[in-house]
Formats: sequence, C-alpha cells, structure tokens
Amino acid sequence: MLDVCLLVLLLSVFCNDRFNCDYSCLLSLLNCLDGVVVVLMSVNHLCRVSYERDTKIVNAASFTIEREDHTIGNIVRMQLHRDPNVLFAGYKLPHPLQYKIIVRIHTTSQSSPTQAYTQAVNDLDKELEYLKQAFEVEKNRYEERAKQGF
Amino acid sequence: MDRPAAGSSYQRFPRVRIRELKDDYAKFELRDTDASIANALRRVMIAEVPTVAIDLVEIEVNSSVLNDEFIAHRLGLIPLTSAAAMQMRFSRDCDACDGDGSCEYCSVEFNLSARATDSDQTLEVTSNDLRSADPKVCPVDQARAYQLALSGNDYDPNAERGILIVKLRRGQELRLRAIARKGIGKDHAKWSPAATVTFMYEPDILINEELMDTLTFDEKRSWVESSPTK
Ligand SMILES: [Zn+2]
Repeated sequence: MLDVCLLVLLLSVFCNDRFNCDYSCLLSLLNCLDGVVVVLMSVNHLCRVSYERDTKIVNAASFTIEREDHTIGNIVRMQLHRDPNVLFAGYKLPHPLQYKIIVRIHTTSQSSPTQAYTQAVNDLDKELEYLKQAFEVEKNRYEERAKQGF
Repeated sequence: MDRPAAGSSYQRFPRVRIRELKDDYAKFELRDTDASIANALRRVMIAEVPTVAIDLVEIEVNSSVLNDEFIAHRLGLIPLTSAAAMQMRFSRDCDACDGDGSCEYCSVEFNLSARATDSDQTLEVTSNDLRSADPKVCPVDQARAYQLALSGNDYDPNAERGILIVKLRRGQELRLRAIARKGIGKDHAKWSPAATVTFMYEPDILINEELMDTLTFDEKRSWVESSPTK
C-alpha cells in the first residue's frame, strides 16, 4: 500500500510538470507508466458518479461517471431517449486519455434529471438481468435439442 | 403536450435465440432491444470480461536466440483456462499480498525449464512445457489434450503440439518462473477472451409470391443464385 501511495505521489509530481504540454508527451508518459495508471484508477475509487446542475436552464444537469466509456454512455443515453419526459440526453467522452464520461440530461418540469437518470439505470439493470436469464434458458433449450440430435 | 407521469418504467424484455453454439463459437439473435445494448455486449465481451494471462516473468536462464522481453511477451499471449477468473482477485485489489504475485487469491505460478541436449535436433519449447501450480489454470490446449485423453476418443498426440514459444539449438537453455494474473482486455489485449465479436442488423425479407409466380423455373434458380449470403 505504501508503494501505491508513493507511485501516485510520484506520478502527480510528474504530471504537474507535464500537464501543460501536448498530448503526444502525455501519451508517451502513459505508455511508459502503464502499470502505474492502472493503480491510479483503482485508488480513485471514492465516487463514481457526480452530479452538477445547469446554472441557466431548469431541469438540466450533467452527470460525470468515472471509469466508464461508450459501453455505458451509449446505453444510458438510448434508455433516456425512451423516457418522454426527457427533452435532451447525450453523453460525451471528453478526452480519450481521461477515463470518464459526461451524461447531460434535460427534462420537462414533470420530471428531473436525477429521477430520469435513476429510472434509466434501474430499467437497464433489470433489462440486462432479464437478458441474462433469457440467455441461460435459451442455452439450456439449445443444448437439450442438440442432445436429441436436431 | 401530454406526457406520462415521471417515474414510469421503460424496461424492455429482450428475446434471445441461439443459432449456433460450439466450444469456441456462438451466434445468436437478439430481439426486442436496440443496437446500443448489442454494442455494449460486444464491447464488454472484448474488453471487460476477466481472464487469466501471464503477466510477470522472472527469467533465470535464457541463452536462446530471443531476448528476455520477447519471450515474456510471447508467454503473455498464451491463452490460459480462465473458468476460475471470476473467483480470483485482481492483484491491485488483493490485500493478502503486495501484488507481487506470491498469493493464491490473485496469482498462479508457472515454471518452465527446457534445455536442448540432443545432438542435432532443435528443441521446440511450447506451451506444453509450462508447469502450472494450479490445475485449474493451464494453457488451453493442455486442458483440451487432457480432456480428450480422459474421454479416450480420437486423441492424436501430434495434433496437440502446443503453442511454440521459442526454438532451442544444442546447448541452449531456457528456465523461468512466470506469474499469471487476472486482468481485462481493456488493460492489455492478451486478457481479451474473444478473437472477435461482431453484430449486425439482419434484413427481414418478404418475397412477393405473386411476382415470383410469373418467373420460370430457371429464372427462379438464378434469383436464388444471386443471393449474396448463399
Ligand atoms: Zn494477492
């Protein structure tokens, strides 16, 4: 654990020096410190989702999800689009070297960004759980049929 | 505009139908959902399903023509049986060790020792020369050979030659200790469990039977021949 802290400290010092330079410099830094970056990611466990309200528009907010990418971003966005109370939903990966996504939601006054977001995530969770069950059932059915020589 | 009350569920109930299922290949239909789910599944299968692969290599003796890091890289790419990966810990999350690979929860030790003593024969060092400390984790072709030998049918020792790591000339030696760890394809492609995963929309083809009746037999045949997916 001490080693990890040391590495993080070392890297933060290293990065402060270099953060103002161009991407290629950062890339080479990442390449040579591959293992360290992985450690850094797991140290940053604290909060995975943070929420920031829009200052100008009511019922609009941005959610920052740490350590996620297109895999989650796109399904959350598509699920939000199924909610008629959501006026806008989009996500972006701010930078390929930053391991986080930002989901922006704008809803009607009947709903709120947090409510829409929670609903979408819960629905996706249930859908994927259902899909897992369905796949297992189908796999058993297929293997049973294969055994009978179909 | 009339909108339903907030808080109603928009959950879907996807349907699955398997078309083909083999040891190393699967093809299935997915209905009642959308491409984002299919793409998320694809991305997870490639980059986020944990497997086990050699990650640390300590070379004791290497007098082969390949340098140490070349061999270490080749060892990392050898596919290992990963059924136990879900029960394993990532070594960065393991509190039973300092992640140096000396612990049963997050690592599996391998040993390899080979020396070409035979006069003029080059010795082929393969994945079969790897000795695992844990029988649950071993090179996949070793596991397959073992299973074939158990079932006793069509076991062909020549067909199970393993994956070539390096060739040794007379007098050359390779001796090493390797640590396999749990990981995901996002960190390194050697942990990716799938060679490739793709999905596509399939067209729903309806044949105009009325028009089809106006064709002669030969015309129908050439129509069938023209199918691009035949
Ligand atoms: Zn450990």
